[in-house]
Amino acid sequence: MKLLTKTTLWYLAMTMVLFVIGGVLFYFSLRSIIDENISENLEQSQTQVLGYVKKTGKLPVQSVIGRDILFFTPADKAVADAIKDTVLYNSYEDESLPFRELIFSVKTNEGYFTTTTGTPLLESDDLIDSIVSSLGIVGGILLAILILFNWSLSKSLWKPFYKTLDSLRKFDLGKKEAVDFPEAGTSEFKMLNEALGKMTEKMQNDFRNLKEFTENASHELQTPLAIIRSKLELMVQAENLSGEQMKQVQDIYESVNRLSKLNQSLLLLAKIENRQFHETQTLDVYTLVEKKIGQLEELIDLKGIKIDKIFVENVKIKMNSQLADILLSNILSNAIRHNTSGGKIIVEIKNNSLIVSNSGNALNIPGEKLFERFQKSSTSSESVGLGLSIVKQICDTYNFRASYQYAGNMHTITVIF
Amino acid sequence: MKILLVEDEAALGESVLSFLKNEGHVCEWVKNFGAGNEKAGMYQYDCALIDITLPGGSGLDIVKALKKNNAKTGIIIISAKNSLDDKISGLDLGADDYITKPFHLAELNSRLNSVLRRRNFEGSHEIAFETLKLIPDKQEVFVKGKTLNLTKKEYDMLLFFISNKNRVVTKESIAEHLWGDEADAADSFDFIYSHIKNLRKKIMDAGGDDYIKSVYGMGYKFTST
Repeated sequence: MKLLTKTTLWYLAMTMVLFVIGGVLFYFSLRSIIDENISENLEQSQTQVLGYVKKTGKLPVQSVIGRDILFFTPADKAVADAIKDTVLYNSYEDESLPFRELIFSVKTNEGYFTTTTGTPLLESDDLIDSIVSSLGIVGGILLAILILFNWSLSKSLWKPFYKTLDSLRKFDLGKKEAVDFPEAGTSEFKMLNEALGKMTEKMQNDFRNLKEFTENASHELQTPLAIIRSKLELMVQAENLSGEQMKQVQDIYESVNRLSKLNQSLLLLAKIENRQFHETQTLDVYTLVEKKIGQLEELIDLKGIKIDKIFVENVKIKMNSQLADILLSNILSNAIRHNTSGGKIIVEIKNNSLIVSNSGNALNIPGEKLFERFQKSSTSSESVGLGLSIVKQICDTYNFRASYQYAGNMHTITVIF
Repeated sequence: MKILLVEDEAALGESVLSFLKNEGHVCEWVKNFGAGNEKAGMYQYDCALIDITLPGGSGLDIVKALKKNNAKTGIIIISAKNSLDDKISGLDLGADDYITKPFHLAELNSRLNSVLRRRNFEGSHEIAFETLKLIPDKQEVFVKGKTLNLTKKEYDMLLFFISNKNRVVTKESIAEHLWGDEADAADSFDFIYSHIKNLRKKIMDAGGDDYIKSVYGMGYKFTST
């Protein structure tokens, strides 16, 4: 719910409560004023009747007093004054109407008379109706004004806020450009933009530094690795190395090779993250897969793996060709490496996706962790555990979706382009 | 052959230098851009190995100077960056090959030999080893004058061995030479073993000797018996 809708609703709820309380108070105060007024009127009639009787010694006719009801009944003695509300039947309107009566005694020449004078009371239903309707009209106008006001307020006052929000949404940590927050006239928004600007700039800087560090560190490692490797290669040429020494050199050599592969993978990851593969072209997944399978054919044959190709419909993708090659190479190499000998690989291209399944034993790590760095299920010492992280990184770069499933002894990697 | 090596890393330079000398090449080694540029402009070399990132300038400028001075010089660029841009600009300037650190010395040697062959014999040449004769242009191999039918991989492997004859060639360098980055796909060196077995058998069946010796678990050595 929008902030403005929320405040408007709260306003309305508050107003409604106030209106009800106000209406009730209004009703009672109005009622008591009117009641008082009526009683006063009746007392006035009494005074008039008493005055007339005192002066003339006779009962007045109704027109002299001008009351709705005025009648006299002969009585034996004087009664005390009494005022009471009653209901009288009105034959014209065919309904009972509330009346207020004042009963008092007068003494004429002909003796005592009980005088009853009355006036109709305003019906409380009518009163409530009129109060509710008038408050309703005022409330409706208030609501309309509130909505209109909020709408125009949100258009003008909140405009910079929505602009800022829009800029934030477009914010990409990996991008080199700073986020451009729009100018705001309101000081709160100005402060917000300033704070956000500083924050995003710092985030970008930190992120960039981190990435640069990885890349630089990897670069710096290349040369020492090259030196160690070359020295070892020279060393093994020596004729006088014992078997034991040779074994040690071999272990060092293998470790250096692993380190070197690891380093190259990290460097590649850093480069993909740093978006150093800009050039894109439209590529044909079918052709790429065929080519890659061709390159790997020998390795597939050697493991006695059967490969099934199910190409339903071709998919065209727009990406860097080098990355496309790495993507396919990593997925297919994985399918070969983690296969059982005499196993199978199924490659499917359909529905804008590439699906590679291979036979193999279940993982001993959760499937969703497979795309994380340095996660490897096999104890195979040659794999560094970065292959699928690189796949994931490439997919992220181009907004492809990579996922993994395991069912019926088949590992499946799906890439939706 | 006369080789120019431009490499600022002393330890790596020493390795390459000692390797090349062992191969019987005359090698000049300079460690910075200025000296490299000067040599490139003044003397004639059969081949130059040039590091791109040098103190004082870019190796690519030395490539330019070399090309200007003697277009026939073979050039191999050595780089710590596996960057496609560097590779393309290097090859555009006229370099023959591009190798990324860390490289196998055997791989460097194989590429150097390939460049030297192309440069010096204008393509018409053959390589002989004992009873073997290779014609790299046609990718043909003869044993005692008889044609030997090899697969592409077997041929590549034989050429790699002959380029690095009499020295220990590691399994890793063979795998990388034959499959490049794809070498990782198989988790063992079984495939190299099976290729070597086939190659050995084919040569011996055709009347050649067993030239491929296994060196502990390290690799192989191609040598006359």
